[in-house]
Amino acid sequence: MEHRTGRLLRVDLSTGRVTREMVDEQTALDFVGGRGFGINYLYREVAPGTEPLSEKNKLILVNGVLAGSSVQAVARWMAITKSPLTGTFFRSVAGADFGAWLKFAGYDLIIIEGKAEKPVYIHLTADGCQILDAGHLWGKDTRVTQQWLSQQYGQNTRTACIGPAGENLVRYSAIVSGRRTAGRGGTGTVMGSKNLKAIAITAQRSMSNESEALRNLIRRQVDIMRTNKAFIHHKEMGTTETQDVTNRLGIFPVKNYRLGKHPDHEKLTGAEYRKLRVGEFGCYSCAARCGKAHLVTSGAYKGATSEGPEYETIWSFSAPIENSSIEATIAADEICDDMGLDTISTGACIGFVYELYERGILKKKDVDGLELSYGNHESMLALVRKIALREGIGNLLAEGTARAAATLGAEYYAMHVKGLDLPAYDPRGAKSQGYNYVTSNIGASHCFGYARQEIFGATVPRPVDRFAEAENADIVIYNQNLTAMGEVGIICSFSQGWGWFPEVYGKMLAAVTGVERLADLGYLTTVGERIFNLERAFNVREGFSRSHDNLPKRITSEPLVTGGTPGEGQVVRELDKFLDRYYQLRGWTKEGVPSAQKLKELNLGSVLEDMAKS
Amino acid sequence: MSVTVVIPHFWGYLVNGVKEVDVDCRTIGECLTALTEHFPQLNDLLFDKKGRLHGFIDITVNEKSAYPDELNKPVNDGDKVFIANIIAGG
Ligand code: SF4
Repeated sequence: MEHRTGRLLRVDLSTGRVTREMVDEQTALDFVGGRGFGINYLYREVAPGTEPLSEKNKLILVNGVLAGSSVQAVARWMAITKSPLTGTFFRSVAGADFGAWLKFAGYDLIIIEGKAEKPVYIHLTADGCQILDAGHLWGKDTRVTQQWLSQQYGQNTRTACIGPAGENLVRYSAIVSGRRTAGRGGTGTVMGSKNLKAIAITAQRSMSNESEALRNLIRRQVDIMRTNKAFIHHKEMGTTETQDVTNRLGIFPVKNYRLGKHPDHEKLTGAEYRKLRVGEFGCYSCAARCGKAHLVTSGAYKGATSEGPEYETIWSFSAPIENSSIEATIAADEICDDMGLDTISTGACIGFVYELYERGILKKKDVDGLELSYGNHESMLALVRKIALREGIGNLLAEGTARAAATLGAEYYAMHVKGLDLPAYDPRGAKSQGYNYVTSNIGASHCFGYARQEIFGATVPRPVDRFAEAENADIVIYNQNLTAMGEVGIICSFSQGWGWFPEVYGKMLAAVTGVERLADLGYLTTVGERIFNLERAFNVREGFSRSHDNLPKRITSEPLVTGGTPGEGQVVRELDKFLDRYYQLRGWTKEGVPSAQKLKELNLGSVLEDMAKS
Repeated sequence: MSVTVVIPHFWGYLVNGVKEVDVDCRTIGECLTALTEHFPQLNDLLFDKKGRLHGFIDITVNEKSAYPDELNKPVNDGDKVFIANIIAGG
């Protein structure tokens, strides 16, 4: 098997036509793979102004250059589309085996277009692709759906599917594979809008064509990882104790971003989760197996089990409503995975409603008779189900916090950037992280340019003061470009801290593609920058500009309350100054449009005309 | 033996902005103990209740990780000891 197949599969669900194409040489050189391929095709094929839930929108599922090889932690895959939640370009990353299986079937990416007349699923093998009736699967949860497809096609089948939330067009529905999700931005909603329940791939594992050069690099990678404490610790704990640190830093956002520390944080620690751990799981070719499965063994949620929760979900189903029952958090995680919901937006949206209830903006009669007082986790779980099924108040919340807030006239309490709910790091105490939310191409994502320097104390490219603002614009850009270049691979973002990235990674890309330049980190950074700029150009073409690069008013006006830990009293103060500096360093105009000079420099001259119209 | 312990910037607010402390010690364990004598508020950020280094704290000496058995590793005159969090957020 070649690790970059150069092949894409195009499936038109309106006509039932399936075609195989080769990725053209220039695209392969300029964009390398993964996220690069995704934005390249999305930009070229989805016209500006396309309604995200119309048949004109496209859904691209793509693996990385290294997927399917025995390189560690690179079998991630992503869903790329125009988001029904944000209206921007969107990429949502997931794990498990699906990315490797797509490669084994012979493809770097699938482009799904059109809309099926009735529910269907796609069955893909190395020999062909069929579009089949999914009427009997419609309405089924993601677990049942995957079980049925495995029984139908055997053990060598891997599936990516949606649950009832995606069918019901909840705007933040996920695509689920195993129990890993492409969670954010409503990629599952786009899949639902196309009447596509699942994509099942039946293929044989194959690693036969690994060159000696690649094998040597893998040995080097494994040697580095074996003695790297970050890897060893991640293998042991996954992300289940990140809240121990973020609570101490005062950046664990509680009660819809009013506090930076959970009053009961000692009940939510990694050690508490450890007591309920029943197993581990991971992604294809990754020794970390960082997914930690939990089982509730007593109390009201006895029997609830999830392959997680990860840090973001630990946060989203505890802090927004000041819940301190980790059992309820596990139960909520399980429902979200079954229903196919993004846990971050679901929890954040519920936190928003609890605040409106506290303030009397919503009354008991408006929320289906639920008691939404802080700490009430039974109501939280009821809301999760209502959102997935668009039942009662759930129908409004399924539209996402920003739209729900606009309907209710409660915009001040909606904590989002460009429609994407803020995740589990308060920007007032981690400002480069916050400015990444502001300038990311997908809204408030924690993983589009994660500020390791602020949160972990990483000293590359330089140490950072987490309360400094405009002077860290270079760090925000550094993190965003680094993430984009890692996502051509597609490496798991956790592995960025394991000592082998980016040097060994670049050499691996060169070994697999035969493009020597990819071993040069300067060149690879340019690839990352090119991808980031084309995504920005996509958004500019959709009408996004400086005014959308913003933060919720609460973050820029209400002082952070941390109960005495560092960060007390902080607000984000220098948004304008930051944007001036950031745009200047990016080579963009004052309105945040990539300049002609920058586009030419990045070999993106073809989008100049679109930018001139903006 | 004079060793410099660099205080991570994210703890700067706990130590009035002090960036580094020179301590007299022979092992990393002694260096960190000396650090917490200067700044007791750092004790529970570095050590668990049993006095073990937290799993999510990585110590590097002259930019080389001291893992494993960090606390018993010897240090030399003029060494620089760095502290970092190695949790993963996702
Ligand atoms: S570190 Fe965890 S999420 Fe990342 S590839 Fe490995 S198992 Fe998957």
